[in-house]
Amino acid sequence: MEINRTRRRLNEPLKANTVAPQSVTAAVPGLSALERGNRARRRSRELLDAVQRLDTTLDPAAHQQIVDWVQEHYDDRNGGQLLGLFGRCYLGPPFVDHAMDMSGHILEHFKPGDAVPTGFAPARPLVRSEAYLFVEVYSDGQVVPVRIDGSSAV
Amino acid sequence: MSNVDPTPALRGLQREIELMHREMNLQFDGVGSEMGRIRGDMALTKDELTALRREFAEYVQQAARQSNVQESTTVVGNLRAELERQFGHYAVVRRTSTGILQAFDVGNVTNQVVSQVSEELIIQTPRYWLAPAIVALAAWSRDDEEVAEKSVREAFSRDKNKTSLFFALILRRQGRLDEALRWLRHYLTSLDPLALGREFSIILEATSYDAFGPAGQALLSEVMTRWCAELRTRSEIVEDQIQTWIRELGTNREMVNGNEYTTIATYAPAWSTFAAQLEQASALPVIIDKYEAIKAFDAPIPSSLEDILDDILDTLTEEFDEEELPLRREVLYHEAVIETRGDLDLARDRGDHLQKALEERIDVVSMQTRAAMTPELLGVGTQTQRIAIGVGQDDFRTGVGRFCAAYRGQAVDNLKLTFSPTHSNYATTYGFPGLTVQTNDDEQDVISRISAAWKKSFDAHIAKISFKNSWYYKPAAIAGVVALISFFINVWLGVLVLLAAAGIVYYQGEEARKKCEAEIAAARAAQVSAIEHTTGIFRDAVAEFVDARLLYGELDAQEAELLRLIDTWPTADSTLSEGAA
Repeated sequence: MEINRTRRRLNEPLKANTVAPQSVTAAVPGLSALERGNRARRRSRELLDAVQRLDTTLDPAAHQQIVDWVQEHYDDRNGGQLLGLFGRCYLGPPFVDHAMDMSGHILEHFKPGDAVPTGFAPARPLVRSEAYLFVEVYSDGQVVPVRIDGSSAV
Repeated sequence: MSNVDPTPALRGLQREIELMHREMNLQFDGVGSEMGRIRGDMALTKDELTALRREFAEYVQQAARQSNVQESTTVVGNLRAELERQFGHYAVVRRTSTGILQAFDVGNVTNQVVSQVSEELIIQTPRYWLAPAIVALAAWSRDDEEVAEKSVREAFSRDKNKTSLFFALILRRQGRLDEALRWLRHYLTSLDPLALGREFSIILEATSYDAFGPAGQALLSEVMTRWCAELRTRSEIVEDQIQTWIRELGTNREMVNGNEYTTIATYAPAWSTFAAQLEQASALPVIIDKYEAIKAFDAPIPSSLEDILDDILDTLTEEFDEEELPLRREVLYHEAVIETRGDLDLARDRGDHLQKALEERIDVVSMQTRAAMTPELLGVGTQTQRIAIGVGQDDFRTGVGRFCAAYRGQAVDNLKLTFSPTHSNYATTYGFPGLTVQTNDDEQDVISRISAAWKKSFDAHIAKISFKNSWYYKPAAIAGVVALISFFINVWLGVLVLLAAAGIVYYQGEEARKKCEAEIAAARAAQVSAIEHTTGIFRDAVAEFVDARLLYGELDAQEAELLRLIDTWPTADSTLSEGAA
């Protein structure tokens, strides 16, 4: 059986010559092969679920528990020092995104005009994409978008 | 007492004053309308000049491109002739090698003829490895061991890799499996997996057709697995493959049709950023179409092993002579210029991409990546390409991820619209102060800001043209002077003149006031149209941006489909693993 689909395309042949921006793909110097491998490894379902639960859990104690668990999970993963996680916020307007800062174990919500903590800025446009569940921000500056299936997008 | 009748003098005076006024008004009107005309003319001239400049620039660019294409067409012709002149006689040797093999198959040509032909070739093509190899073949067929050995040595000294590969393939073709395997092993051990010659792609091609039999396949598979495992531990090699895939995506993107987004492109300075993002995302469907076709490719069932080996031998003898490379490279670049219709930048970009496939020495991992993307330049078929894509599955996946993350990381979902003081003829004429809004601002809010900005500029304009009491100063002064003179002539005359002059000044003043009011009414009407015009631009720009964002969403969402295509690649052996929880 042949499926005949017409994909939406721009249909204009390329004329200009600009190279794709590479800002989020910069190689990280000083990261060991082991850490690099761990960072690229697919995230487990439990972790993805836990991060998603952060949005819906209102009880502060339960919330703290999840944050602790996530922190511990990342420590075990051994993929380098995690600064925090950044994701879309489902609280609704005016909030658009939030950051889970690993150092302070706090969840902070941001409006479009708000400034985000140091290091988190490159993650902001990425979480707008439906393709990513959340974005990991590492202390070495690397920003790793995580897909719905838990795979690293970079 | 005077008995002079003052009426004619008064009438004369009144006529004089009226005439003076009319003259003045006429002059003012004349200047005003002249100014308006000049302003209109200037706006028109500026528009025409801009259009002319754009057309001229386009014309210059087009002319330059046309001449580039013409030049490249000539150069390609010359280069081809040069290739033919310098290396044309190699073609005779190549054809002869296949011819001899087929003659062996049929057995209708005497050994003597074969020997004679091949010996002539060796004289005609000094330095070419294939000529002594053919002499060796002829000697082998007539059991002349001494000549055979001498010739093999000579061929080997001229090009050991190609000679080994050639004899491995020939022996395999003649069904001498063990000997073929020996040559193959000989060939493989002489190789450095970091610096393979282009002829190694023959091995990839032969492997995909299982051309060396079970023992050969096992040997090749073992060697390839070992090499790849070794090289893939080096992050810079893996990184190289990922970058090559990112480039493959980048060079396959399309362009935004400028006619669909004229308004947003004119009023949003950052439109080009969004357009770039749209163009990056447009590579996804192109790549899906390209690789889906490769995935769906049904390899024709090979008619016979001999035919496949003949094809592979043809490729070995035809495609890989390094002496020809410099010329071939130039041909490639000029062909790219013709293909891109004279766009030198794009041609260089595309040329570089293709050049890579012609580089003399590359590592085995990069060769597989190249076989996956540009098989025609390695001289391998679609079957080999499919296998190579499977081998590079993880690199392809990561490349797509990074490519998408790169443009998503720059993504904008809101553009600033700038209504400059010259954004419309109204704006130029009525001194619009300029206004900046965002595409995601509330429409009602934007409309009221547009109205307020226009009100401000029209209020200033109206204040300038409205009737002012200072208008009276000059005529009143003239009337006063005339009346004063009249007083000196006769008191009553003075009184009369004063009254008449006051009447005239009042009447004229009323006329001027009415004229100003009419002008103000016209300005207020223009204000309504100006607001409508600017609001119209805002609505058009937002509508275009909404369309563009929808299109971007549709294009961008196809990453998932592309990843699915990669993940379900038929020949792949993925190493993606679930993380330990």
